[in-house]
Amino acid sequence: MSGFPAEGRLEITVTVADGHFSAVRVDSSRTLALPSLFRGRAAAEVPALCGRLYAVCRMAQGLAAAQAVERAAGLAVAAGQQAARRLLLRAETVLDQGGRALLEWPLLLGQGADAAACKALRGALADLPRLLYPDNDWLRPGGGRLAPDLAVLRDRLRRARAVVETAVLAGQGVGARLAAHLRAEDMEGFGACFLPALPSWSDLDVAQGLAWHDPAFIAAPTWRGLAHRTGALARLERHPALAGAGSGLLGLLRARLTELALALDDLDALAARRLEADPAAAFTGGDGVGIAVVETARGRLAHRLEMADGLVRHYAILAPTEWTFHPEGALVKGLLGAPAGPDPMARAGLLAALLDPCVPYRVTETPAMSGA
Amino acid sequence: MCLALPAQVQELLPDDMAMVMLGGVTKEVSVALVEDVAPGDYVIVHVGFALSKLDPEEAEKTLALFAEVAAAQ
Repeated sequence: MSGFPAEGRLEITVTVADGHFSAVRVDSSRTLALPSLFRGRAAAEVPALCGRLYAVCRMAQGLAAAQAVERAAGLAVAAGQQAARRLLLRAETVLDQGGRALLEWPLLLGQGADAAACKALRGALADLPRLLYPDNDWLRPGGGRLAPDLAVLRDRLRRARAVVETAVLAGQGVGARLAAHLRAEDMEGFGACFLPALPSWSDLDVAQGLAWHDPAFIAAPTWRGLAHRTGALARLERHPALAGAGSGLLGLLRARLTELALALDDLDALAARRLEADPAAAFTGGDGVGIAVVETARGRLAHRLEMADGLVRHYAILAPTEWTFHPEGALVKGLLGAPAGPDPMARAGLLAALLDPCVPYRVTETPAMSGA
Repeated sequence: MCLALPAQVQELLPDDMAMVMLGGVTKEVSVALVEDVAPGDYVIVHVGFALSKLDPEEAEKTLALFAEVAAAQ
């Protein structure tokens, strides 16, 4: 089984000189070649494959693939399906961001993970696709049979809200405890850097502005030649809740907490809409190329499909972790020149945790070159 | 991009932990988030936690897909 793809990890290597981070390097062993698996397969199979192959982002990956297929084939999806998909994407944001807050943030405070609360959250939201689509065909291009039990759905959303509000967002929740820790350690501004947020993209932008066929670009993407920020802070940088929080640890934390609260509200609003079976998707004519862009828990996710005769000729996925952990991205720029403190690896790890890669990471320190 | 690699539970350990086999390598993970895990079950692991159980047929299909990726690399 040698060569079997592992989960992959980020190796973050920091160097300290004169009490400050003088060099930062990120080596990723994430498997980015997975889309090559789709080449030659029926394009209509790809959404379900994505839903099977990806773990915490499976809803976003699967739905992005469905949208890419629909665009390539010229399938217009009905409003009810779009609302249901939006609900799934926001539910996954709550599931993922709430889960990280419950499992990882306590460890940053020297406490144990809140597995009981995370289990309750997963129990409420993890199987929402099947709840909305009883035939489990939620990733069918054009949309599956949408027939939710709305009473059960609303009960699930109430349960999820109760967990997140009590264990994460409340005054004694892990979010407030982490904020107090940052304040006590004078770390609120640590990791701040100027990095532009990814702007909204037009169809033309994503068709022409991204080097979809270049593996080096997929591994370290730029927009108009520059690294950019994606994720909660990029989406919410002008939100009143973030006023004065900056782009360091406090800003990152507050953005994630605000995102969680907003996503819970979005879920309630979406569950109040008409989530019913709609007329089948309509053909509008496609040219065999389909691009989908969705905002996920960690930031912007983009898929691009080229197909001919219903078969995949090329498939590419551009994921948020590659923007955030780019060689000139938020982690590297946030650390370079920042005070390293008595425990540089812990500081770097704290920033990495709040920037939230989708794979495990490890921070190591390497000595500065002497005599330079 | 967090791959959903199926891991097979080898042994249950105290404190909701378990030894699992993942891609030919054994590792210790928490099974606190899933119900009724037993040796032989397949689970999806992410950052040290088993997130969900997978029926054996699904797990075999997924493992076959990942094996294709490995063979192509």
